[in-house]
Amino acid sequence: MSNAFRTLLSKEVKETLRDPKILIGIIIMPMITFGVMGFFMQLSFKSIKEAALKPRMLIIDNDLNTYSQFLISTLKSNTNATLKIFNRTALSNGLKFAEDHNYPIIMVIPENFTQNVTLGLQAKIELYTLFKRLSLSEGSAASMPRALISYLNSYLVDKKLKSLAPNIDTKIFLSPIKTVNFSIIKGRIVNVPPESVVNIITSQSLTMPITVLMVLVFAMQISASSIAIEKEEKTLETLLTLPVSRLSILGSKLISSIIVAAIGSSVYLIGYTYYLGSFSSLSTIETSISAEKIGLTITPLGFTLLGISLFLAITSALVLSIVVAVYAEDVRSAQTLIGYLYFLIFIPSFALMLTDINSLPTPMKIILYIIPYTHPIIASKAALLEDYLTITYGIIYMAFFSLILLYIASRMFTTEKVITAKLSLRFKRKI
Amino acid sequence: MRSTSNLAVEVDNLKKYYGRIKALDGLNFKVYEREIYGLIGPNGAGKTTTLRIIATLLQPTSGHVYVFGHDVVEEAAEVRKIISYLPEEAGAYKNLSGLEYLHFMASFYSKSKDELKIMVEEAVKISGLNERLKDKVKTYSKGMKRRLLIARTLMVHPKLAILDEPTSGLDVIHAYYLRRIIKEYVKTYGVTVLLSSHNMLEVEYLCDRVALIHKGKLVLEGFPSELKSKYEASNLEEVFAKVTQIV
Ligand SMILES: Nc1ncnc2c1ncn2[C@@H]1O[C@H](COP(=O)(O)OP(=O)(O)O)[C@@H](O)[C@H]1O
Ligand SMILES: [Mg+2]
Repeated sequence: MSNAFRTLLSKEVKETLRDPKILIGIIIMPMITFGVMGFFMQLSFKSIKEAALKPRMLIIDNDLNTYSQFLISTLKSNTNATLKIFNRTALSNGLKFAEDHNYPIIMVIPENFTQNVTLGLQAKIELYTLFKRLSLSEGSAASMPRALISYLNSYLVDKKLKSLAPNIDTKIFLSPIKTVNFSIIKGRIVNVPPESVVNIITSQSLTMPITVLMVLVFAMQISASSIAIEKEEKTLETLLTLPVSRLSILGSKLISSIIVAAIGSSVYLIGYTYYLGSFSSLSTIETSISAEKIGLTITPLGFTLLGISLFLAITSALVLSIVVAVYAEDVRSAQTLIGYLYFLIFIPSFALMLTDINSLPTPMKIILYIIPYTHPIIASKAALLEDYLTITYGIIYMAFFSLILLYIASRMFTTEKVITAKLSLRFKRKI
Repeated sequence: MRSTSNLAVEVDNLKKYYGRIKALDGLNFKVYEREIYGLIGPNGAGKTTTLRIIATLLQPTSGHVYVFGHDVVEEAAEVRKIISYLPEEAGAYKNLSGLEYLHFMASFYSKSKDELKIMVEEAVKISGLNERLKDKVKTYSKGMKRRLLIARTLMVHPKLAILDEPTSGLDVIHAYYLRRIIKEYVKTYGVTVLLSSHNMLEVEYLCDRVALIHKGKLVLEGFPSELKSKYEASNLEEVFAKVTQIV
C-alpha cells in the first residue's frame, strides 16, 4: 500500500466516522433501537413466563370434598403458584377480590365435583381468565391450571382402567398408534420431527437476507456520501488535482466504505442477535435443537464461497452507489438517488425471506436472478445444502457485474465526468 | 514532453464545449517562468474553464495545453506533480482541524517527514491563523477558510500555482492580507503564478502580465502599464471598458 493511498484511506475513514450524521445514523441509532427493543421484549417475555410458571390463582372450592382437596394439595405441593382459597362462596365475591388483589385466574370447583367423578359422570371445573390490562401475560396465566387438570384427567383415567382391567397399559389404550418422526437432510436420516427443522430453516433464512440487506444499505449510504460530500463541501476539485492516481482516490473511497460498513453492520448484528436472543428466551420447556445436531452446517469451502459471494455483493453495491452519487451535487440528493437503488436489495431480501426461489413462477425467478443481490441470499441456503455450483454461478455473475461497474467508475474518475456529471432532479421541486 | 526554453504554460488554440455551450473559442496565450500572469474578464468569460483544463480537471474539446512542456491530457499525472490549484469555490474537510488538513495535503507532496514538517510550518505562517488551526475547519469563517486554502496551495512550492479568483467574496481586510502574502511569496520562491480575477485593481497590483478574456476568446494581452497608456486609461478597468465596446 503506497503512502499516498494510506493517507487517503485514513482521511476517508476519519471523515466518515467523525461525521455526526454517520456516527448517529449508523452506530448509535441501531444500538439504541435494538437495545431498547430487545430490552422490552425480554421484559415482556419474562412476565409471560412468570405468569405461566408462577400464576396467582384464586380458587373457589364449593365442593370441599376428596377430589377438590386433592387438586388443591397437588397445586400447593408441585407448583410455585400463589393460591388464595375461598370456601363456598359466589363467583361475584371471588371476582371482586381477584380484581382488587390482582389475581388473573379464578378456578371454580362446583359443588358436586367429587360426587360426579366418583359416579363416573363428567365433572366440571370452571377457569376464569381476567383481562384487566389486555396483556399477553394475562392470557398465558391459565396454562398452568390447565396442565394440572389434564394431569388429574389422566390420573383418573388410569385409575378407572386399572380397576376394570388391571393388566392394561393406559398409554397404549389411549393411543394405540404412535407416530415416530424422522427428517432426511442431505441424504442423512435424523431423528428429529420436521417442525424442528422448519424452525431452524426459518431462523437461518431470515438471518442472511437481513444481514445482506443491512450491510448493503450501510455501505451504499456511506460510499455515496463520501463522494457527494466532496462535491457539497467543494473539496473534490482540489483532491483531483493532487499528485495521486485517480484510481487510488476511488479505491480509498471504496475500501473506507467497506471498513465503516463492517463496523456499522457488526454493531447492527450484535444488536440484532441480542434482539433475537430475547425471543429464544421464551422457549423454556420445549427442547431446542441446534443446527449442528441435524447436520445443517456449512463446510469451510461453503463458508469461503459464501464470503466471496458477500464480498462481491458489497463491492458491486459500493461501486454502483458511487457511480450514481457522482451525479448528485450534495449529500441529500445523493441519498435520494441511492434510495432508488434500494429496491434492488429489498426485493430479493423480502422475497427470499419467506419463499424458496425455486418455488416462484419463472418470470419472478428471472427477475430475481438478474438482480445481483439475490445471489448472496441464495448462496446462504446453497451453502447449507452443499450446492456449491449454484454459489459459483452467482459469484461469476456478480464478478462480471462488479467488473463492468468498476470499469464505468474508473472511467468517470479518470475523465472529467466525475466533475461535470449532473442529473437534474427538478421534477421533484414541482410537487 | 516538449522542449521549452522558459515557458511555464502554453495554451494553443484551446476550445471547450459543455454540450452545446461554447465556453472557450480558440484561446492562445503563453506564461513564462517566474511570471504572475492574470486572466481577467467578466463572469462567464471562460476563466475558470481555462484554469480547470490547465489543472487537468477538464479535457479540452480541441487544442492543446502544455505545462512546463507536459501535455495536460496525455501527461496529466506529470502535470499534477508540479502544479498546485486553488479552485474558485473551494472548501476543506470540515471534520478535520486546519492543521490536520495541512498535514493531509502536504503528505502528497513531501518525500520525507522533515519536508512535511517544513511545508506545514510554512503554511501555518502563510495562513496567519495561529491557534485557530487546531480547531475544526467547520468553525472557520469564509475568510479564514480561504487563508487556509491559499496556505495549502503555496506551501508545496509548486512550479506553477493556479489561483482561481483568489480573493473573490472576501472582505477588504482578508483580501488585502492575501494579496500581500501572494506577492511576497512569489518574490521569495520564484514560482510561476497563473491567476484569474474579475477585480481589475487586484490584477493590477499582483500581475506582471494580463490577458483580457471575453466570450471564450483572448481580446487583449500585455503589461498593465503598456495597456493603460495604449488605451489612454488610468486603470485596467477603463481599458477593459474601452476594449469590450470595440469587440
Ligand atoms: N459545468 C458546466 N456546464 C455547462 N456550462 C458551463 C459549465 N461550467 C461553465 N459553463 C459555462 O461556460 C462559460 C464559461 O464559464 P466559466 O469558465 O466559469 O467563466 P468565468 O470563470 O470566467 O466566470 C459560461 O457560459 C458558463 O455558463
Ligand atoms: Mg470563474
